Amino acid sequence: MSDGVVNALNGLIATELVAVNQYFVHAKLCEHWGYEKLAARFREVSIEEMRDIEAYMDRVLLLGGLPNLQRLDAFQVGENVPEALDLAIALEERAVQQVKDAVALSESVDDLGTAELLRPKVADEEAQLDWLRTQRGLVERIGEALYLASQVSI
Amino acid sequence: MFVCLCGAVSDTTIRGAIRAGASTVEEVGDACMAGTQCGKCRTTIEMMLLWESEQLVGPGGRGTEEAGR
Repeated sequence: MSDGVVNALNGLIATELVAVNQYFVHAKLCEHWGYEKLAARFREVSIEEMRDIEAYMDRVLLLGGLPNLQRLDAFQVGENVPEALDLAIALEERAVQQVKDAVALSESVDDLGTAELLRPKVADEEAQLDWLRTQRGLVERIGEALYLASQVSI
Repeated sequence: MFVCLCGAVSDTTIRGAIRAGASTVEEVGDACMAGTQCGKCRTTIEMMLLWESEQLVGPGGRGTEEAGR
């Protein structure tokens, strides 16, 4: 077992834990503000990140390590939708780089199983980042009020 | 955005405390409670203190009030 790979996986778990919590609190805030479509998307992503954590935990256990779910790093909460989107973009940018680094590390120690587990996550995180940037771009192009109106499901 | 989640303290409030004279994380906490509970946001408050001091007393003297995010 490679301590480096286990540490990298636990690092990914820590980032995903922030993602689960940050997306979930933004989901509930958006729901509270009445932007139910965005709330539903954030909620779905939050739960998806939890599934990623489960996969990383399984891999840590297979490698003989202990999954660390205790580490929850500090994060910020948006007071409005553009802030929530900006915070999610910053988080996903970090996540994409972290997964790429973990893939490279796994390959360098010939842990192809971990590399194979992580490689599809790069594309997943990039797709999520792209969606967020598109939303942020829409806010800029059509205006915040119009964008927010599009997120109300009445 | 909320920086201190324990006390629901926003960056605007923290920046206000810094501009009103708070110059350490402890003084920010005294002024607005930010960072006084779990303490996870203290690093962010430290960065804001640094950022604000550069804005207010940066090269060339007093920076513009609007330069901060």
